[in-house]
Amino acid sequence: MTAQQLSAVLSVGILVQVILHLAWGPISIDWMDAWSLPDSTDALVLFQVRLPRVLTAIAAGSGLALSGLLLQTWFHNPLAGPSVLGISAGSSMGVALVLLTGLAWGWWGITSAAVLGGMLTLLLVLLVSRRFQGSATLLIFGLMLSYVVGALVTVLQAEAAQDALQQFVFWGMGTFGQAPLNLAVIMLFIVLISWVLISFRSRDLDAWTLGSLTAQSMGVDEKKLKVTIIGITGVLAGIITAVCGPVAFLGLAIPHLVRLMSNERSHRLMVPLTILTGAFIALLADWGVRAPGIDGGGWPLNAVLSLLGGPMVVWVLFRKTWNA
Amino acid sequence: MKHSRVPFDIEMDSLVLGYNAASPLNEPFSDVLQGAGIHLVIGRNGAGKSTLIRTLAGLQTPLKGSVMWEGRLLSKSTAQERGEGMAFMASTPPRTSGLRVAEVLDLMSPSNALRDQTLRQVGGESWLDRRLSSLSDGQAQRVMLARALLQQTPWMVLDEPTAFLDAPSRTALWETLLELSQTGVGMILASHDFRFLQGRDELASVHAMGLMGWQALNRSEPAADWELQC
Repeated sequence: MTAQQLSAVLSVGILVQVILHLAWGPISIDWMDAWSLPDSTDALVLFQVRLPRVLTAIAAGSGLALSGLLLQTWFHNPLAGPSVLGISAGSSMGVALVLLTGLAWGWWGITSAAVLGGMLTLLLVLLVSRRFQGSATLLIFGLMLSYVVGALVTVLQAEAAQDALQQFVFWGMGTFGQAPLNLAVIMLFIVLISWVLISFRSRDLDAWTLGSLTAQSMGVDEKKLKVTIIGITGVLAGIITAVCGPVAFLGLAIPHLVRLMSNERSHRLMVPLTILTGAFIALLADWGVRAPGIDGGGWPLNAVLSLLGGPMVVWVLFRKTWNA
Repeated sequence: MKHSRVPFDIEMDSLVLGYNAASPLNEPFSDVLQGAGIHLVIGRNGAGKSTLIRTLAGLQTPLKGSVMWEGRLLSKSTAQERGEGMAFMASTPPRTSGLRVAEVLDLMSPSNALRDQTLRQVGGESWLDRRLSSLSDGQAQRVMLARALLQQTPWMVLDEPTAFLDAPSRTALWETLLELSQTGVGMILASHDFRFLQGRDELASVHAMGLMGWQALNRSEPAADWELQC
């Protein structure tokens, strides 16, 4: 499929899913009523429940996928991603500190703690990555970081009050269904800004795939590119983790899915395709969360994503081997 | 292809190279590299050839001393200015880039005619639509040479460009490099594989980095004698 065909298919797929997600649910709503009667149950369900959920899924899917692509390019490592490098764990740590110590300052407190935690972890990874030659070492470092942070979170949990703990456990399962409308819109806006910012850097990112020294010799400003990538991935992974919980697989798997579906590798095309695919898959995964539960119980998002994502990554690996 | 600018003087002033201030690679030295042709740097493993190449290209900061291009401090230049002055070719070709050869070369924004001509120059005219990752190391290295040429800089620095190549690919690359060095470009080349250059008119200077520090060698001596001095 050409990039144009693929993006057309994905856009239609996203649009159809958005309509179905808004229309389908345990309560059937009348769209005309929802529009004309702002105080009706119909309006409440549409604008306070389903619309924020759909927008959150689109923002989280595309944002995490973009973070994954940027990290894979920056570290020259196909297995990099926000969860693999411990960035999501860092965000979780921030959230755990705020939630479990009772310093809960509402959405903004949780969100800033997650962004801060994610960025600090990414800075730490960047700092040590200079010392590491092989790509496996970096991944193992990220994994160890996740373990240590996970242990600290467990310690916090052991000390935490009952209701704070319950809140944290639910948050850890991941969901697109918790954000209020204004937060969902803000997330989507941040993804769009990141898209615009990174689209000015697609030549730099392409050059970076040739090796960091070669890229710098071609006039790529390493510091500027690094700041852009840390800024974007830290903010995106942080805010998405705060709102949706530590979402698994999307960041790592989506760029590979794009590589499988399209022959294009230049970032000019990879970035938009990754963003569209991320949104499409997140909406698809949310059916798994919404459909099984009748009363809004549902399956945890991370369980659905792992069931979907695990086999997908293995399939990508198999296809790659057979095509080579 | 003629280069529009002549190679400027590269001055090394009390230069000390290395990664770690506690273990510098050499005693301070000063020298100037000037003029077109091949400037060969030889030395044992770990003597600091690659470090010198990177330092001269502004890809690494020296521990002490400074490098000047055209009388201007390299440390004060921007990434873009460095990219306009000197092209760099690493010893290993990129192995993880999925870009097509045409996309790699188009990063330098050449005209299609110039791009195709340069690719022909390195013997890769049929690779335009191939992925870099599908080429052999030797082929990929030649694409990287074409890319460096398209940067159209007065200087090129090459860090052991033949290190990972088999014998036929080496010979082919050396022949291309010798041909290029006649077009007015200045090339600084670190290599172990220098016997090919012995007695060639294209050789502008030979220097050794080693136990004796940085020293100029006689370029008309046999290559075996150079080896003894590093």
